[in-house]
Amino acid sequence: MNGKKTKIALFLCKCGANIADFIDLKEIESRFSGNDTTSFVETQDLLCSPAGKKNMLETIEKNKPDFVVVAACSPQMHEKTFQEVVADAGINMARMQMANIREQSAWVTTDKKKATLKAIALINAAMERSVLHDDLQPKTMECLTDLIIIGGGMAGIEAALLAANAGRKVTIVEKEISLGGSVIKIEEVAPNMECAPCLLSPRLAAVRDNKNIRVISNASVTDVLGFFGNFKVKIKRMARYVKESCIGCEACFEVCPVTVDNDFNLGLGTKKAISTLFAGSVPAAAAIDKTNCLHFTDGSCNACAAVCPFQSIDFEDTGEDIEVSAGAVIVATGCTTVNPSTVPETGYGKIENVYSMPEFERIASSNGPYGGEIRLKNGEPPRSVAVIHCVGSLSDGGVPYCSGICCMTAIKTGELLRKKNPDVEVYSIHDRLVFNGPEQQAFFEKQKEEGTHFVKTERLRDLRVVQNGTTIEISGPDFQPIAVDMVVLSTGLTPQKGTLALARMLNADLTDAGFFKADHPILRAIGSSIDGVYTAGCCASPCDVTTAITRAQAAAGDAISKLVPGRKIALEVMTTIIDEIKCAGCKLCIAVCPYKAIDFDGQKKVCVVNEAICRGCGTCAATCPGGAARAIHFSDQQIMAEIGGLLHG
Amino acid sequence: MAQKPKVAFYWCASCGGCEETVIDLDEKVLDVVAAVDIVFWPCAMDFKYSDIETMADGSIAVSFINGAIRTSEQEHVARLLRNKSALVVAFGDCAWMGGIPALANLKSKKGIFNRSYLESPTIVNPEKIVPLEKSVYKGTEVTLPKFYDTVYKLDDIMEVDYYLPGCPPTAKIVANALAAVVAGQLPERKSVLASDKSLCSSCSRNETKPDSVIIKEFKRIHQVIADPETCFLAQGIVCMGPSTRDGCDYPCIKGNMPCTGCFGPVAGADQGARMTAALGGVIESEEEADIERVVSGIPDPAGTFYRYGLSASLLGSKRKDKI
Repeated sequence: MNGKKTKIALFLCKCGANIADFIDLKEIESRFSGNDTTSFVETQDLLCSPAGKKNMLETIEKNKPDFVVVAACSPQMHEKTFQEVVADAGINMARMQMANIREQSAWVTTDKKKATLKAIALINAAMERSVLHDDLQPKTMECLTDLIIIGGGMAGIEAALLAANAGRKVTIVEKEISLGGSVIKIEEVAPNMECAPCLLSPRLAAVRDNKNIRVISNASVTDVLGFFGNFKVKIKRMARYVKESCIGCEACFEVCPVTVDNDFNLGLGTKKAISTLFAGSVPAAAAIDKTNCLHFTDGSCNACAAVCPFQSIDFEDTGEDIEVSAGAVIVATGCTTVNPSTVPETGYGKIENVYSMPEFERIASSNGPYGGEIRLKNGEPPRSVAVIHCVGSLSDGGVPYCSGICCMTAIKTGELLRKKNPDVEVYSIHDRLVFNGPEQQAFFEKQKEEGTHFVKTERLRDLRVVQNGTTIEISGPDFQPIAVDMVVLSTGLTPQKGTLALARMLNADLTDAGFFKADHPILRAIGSSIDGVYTAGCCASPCDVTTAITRAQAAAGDAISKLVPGRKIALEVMTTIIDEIKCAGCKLCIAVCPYKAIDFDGQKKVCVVNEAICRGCGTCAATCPGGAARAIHFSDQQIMAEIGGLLHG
Repeated sequence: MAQKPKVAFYWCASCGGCEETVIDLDEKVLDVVAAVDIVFWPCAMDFKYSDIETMADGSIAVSFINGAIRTSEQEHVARLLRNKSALVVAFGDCAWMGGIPALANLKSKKGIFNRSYLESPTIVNPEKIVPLEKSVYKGTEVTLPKFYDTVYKLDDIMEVDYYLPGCPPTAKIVANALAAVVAGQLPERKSVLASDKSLCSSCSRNETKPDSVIIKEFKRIHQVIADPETCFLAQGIVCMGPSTRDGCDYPCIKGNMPCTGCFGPVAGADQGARMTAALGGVIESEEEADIERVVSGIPDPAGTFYRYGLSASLLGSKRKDKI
């Protein structure tokens, strides 16, 4: 300081009675007034009030201290407020240090003497540290306005269309070879019995025709870096061996000699080793099943390539790594169902004609394995069908909660069955029934009227499903045994596979049940725990299609309302820097960085912080075994000085 | 003929390994002998303390002192050499930061004496005789130097100009240091005469270290057959390389043994604290029990992380007397 004595201004805030009644501010004033380095001590009633800030500004301008310590509330409340006052007075904002004497002193004890002593220690710590502060200049960048949507089901599609129609560029990353998610596998959506493919087809076409939307299918997200306004998403597109020029004309299907299980139909029915997801899918391109295709297994076949009118077959496809930047990420990965094999009493997997609900949906679908004809394994239409509710729900083995929407889906089976055969007997074996709102209740009443037998049991866990001659018998301790031809198991809903891995990439929290946790369960259900990472559809909790779409629209709308072109976002200035002279390139910082903000420079053999991604958490600085990483504003010297001040205060 | 610079070597609480390093200079030792005038080297030749006492202050160009300060005699001679020397170089870890002897700071003097002279299973001492500073032998009073309660590093008791790391320093860095002294091309005073980076910067195995090191279990070198190419940390073996100064040319690692940290910390860092923090960050744990299980794989943390530098550590000592 060129021999000039460093001066610190100390502002004490009474916070009305909040601090003044619990801490002896006069004592603090006298303690610090005589201090060598304190240029003055000023006590205010409410420092954050307009009058308080004005007075603070004028006092600083008049006295020109080198550093400012504000003893008041938590920096979470007003650090920014006082940084601005200090900056307005011509002092770098980093030269202001707060001592939290409200939450950490006044509010934690009624013993005024002890509270005062602790406040003195906290102020002393702030003073000792503040004189070591370096000036910091604020950094901003223009926010990115594009969106990345993970998951191309109904929710992802609707979020994408909303944002794209508002002029934003949107990338959809879909794990299947085409869009559609789980809704495309449903024949009709209860209670309105809307044809799901009919709902989706025009939306798929809209996605296909929208220049603002890029679909990366047969792909998964491998890493997410950055923060709200500035995300980088790494994507791995798997090889599909068919180029985008494929229009899905199906000419190759006829010549392909290999038949495989149809996974779109959950293993029911078959498809060829080259196939599309479904007729009319978007993207339209087919994909080759490499493990079964003869070209890859023994090199004997080239039939698809020979007939393809568009020369779209590309056996050399190796997939690709793609990096996309965006301002926000919308997670729309959906959910899945409990596997009924985990409930062996249901006979699933052992008894013929016992199906899970998703399988039944496929069987009943006109684009399903049997063209929508519901048949038993022997080809006969079923004369009687039982639906068992809550399989794997509300139980120790499955999920401990009610998924809320499965009752509606379960009772839909009666509607679908009677459409094909009005004389079919349908049983709904249930404990609790959950219907939401007048439409769903009316649908339930209609099913009762039209003949579904609702069999109430309180002992769902004690149900037994056994083969009895040509029929399947369902028995329980509190109802008469029921004999049917077919059983449908209505299963609870669980988080999509891979949710945990994705959440880790995003640093987002999950609920106990494993779904994405809301930023706030009431106020911001569409926000995740990470700013700029949204949830749409049922990745946040099981929900019906209507809610899934509403969430999607809300998420996209919220994101685009915040990512306005030209808007500046403040970058973290208290980042970490790695001294390349000291760094040995041991890479341990890379392992611990929660934001993946550190890269290894293979040329210089040192680790480098990406300042646009670093959030200044300091983990790397604490970890660096060579002392090469230093957290700006939280250097060892500053922290040691603060501790020293606290102990000697 | 211009007078050759005078050089002294002395050993305090040490094992003799540092002296061995001077011998390890091989034929280069002849260059040293040709370039300098060795005025004091009790380990190798017959000198008396009086030889030094009679010299003029500052007349020795450089004294290389190895070993920690444990006794009054060591302190006395070290201070004597300080007065007679233009430069004092702390030679090796014991002089620089306490070295292996400093691990004794985890115990008290009394505890060490009890163990060494009374309790150890190999001791037969029915009369319970322990060394005393003064005792009478056949009518004559005989004295021993005072044994301090603490092992001090050299700069705890006096000014030190330069530090040579290593247990022992390698012949190469000793030769470099001697050459620098003779040529008068020494770096900034108080420097450690080796690299500023840590060992990973030159280690051939660093390339095999994944970007994300995760340790699920610590394995000690005798419990596994270590892969001879792969980074030890990536194998779950504690290697002090990341927090240890480079410059040794990693002979241990070439011998498929992990670095134990003998080149000490890089500038401004606390070796053990740094390494503990670094490993703490890469332990894979879901719950607290996992951490305990993983950490139990390091049965002697102080001896692992501060093997060569307890006197210079944040950990300090069990109890420290003022000299």
